[in-house]
Amino acid sequence: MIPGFFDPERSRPAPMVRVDVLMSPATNSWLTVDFLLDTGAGRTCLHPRDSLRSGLSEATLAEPGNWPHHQRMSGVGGSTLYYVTRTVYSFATDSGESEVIEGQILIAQPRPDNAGLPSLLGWDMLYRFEVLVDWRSRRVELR
Amino acid sequence: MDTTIPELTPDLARRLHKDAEDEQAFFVERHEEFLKKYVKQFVVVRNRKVIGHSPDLSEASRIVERNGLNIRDVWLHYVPDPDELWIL
Repeated sequence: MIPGFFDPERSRPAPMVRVDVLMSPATNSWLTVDFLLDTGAGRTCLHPRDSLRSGLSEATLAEPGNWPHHQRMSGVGGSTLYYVTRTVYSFATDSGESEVIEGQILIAQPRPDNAGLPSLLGWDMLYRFEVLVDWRSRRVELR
Repeated sequence: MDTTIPELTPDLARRLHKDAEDEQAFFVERHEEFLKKYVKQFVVVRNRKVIGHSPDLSEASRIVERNGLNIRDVWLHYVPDPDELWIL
């Protein structure tokens, strides 16, 4: 079981899971990301605060020409350009093991309106798990 | 660029998660104070001291550079409005 948590800084339920990601070849080091579980997101995506934390520069993120694969995604806030990047996800289980999944991540082109958004764990990852989100017992688990 | 990719050893995973837990605990402990001072701002923390803050992420990242630091040397944290609603 992969334990998560509700974001303690928000008064409304925001279920999160902490995941180690390696976005290769975009970066060459592991990054720990607190992802919001988002059953409305078709793809897992990294928003700008986490992108900068990974060591990617603002200039690199701003310029689509630096990225071979793009995808424009639509949301209720409008349309945003994302850079598609190969990624290894490592989920820590409660038994001390790691569940490793290879996939992709979409890295958002920074805009003022997405700077404060959390990164999102979307259905390309969530479909692999039984997802438990129970605000009453304050439990978040991926099984 | 160094293209050597480190293996996620149990020790590295523990260190990464310890740092994430320390960051979360730091901001939870100071939640009320930081809400008053920095709500909806990015806060840059080095060695448990706030070295700068800005509502603008670009400006916050420049604080890191101006202090001669690498982004990996700091906590770059967003202090959310706890009642903010998302529709993502």
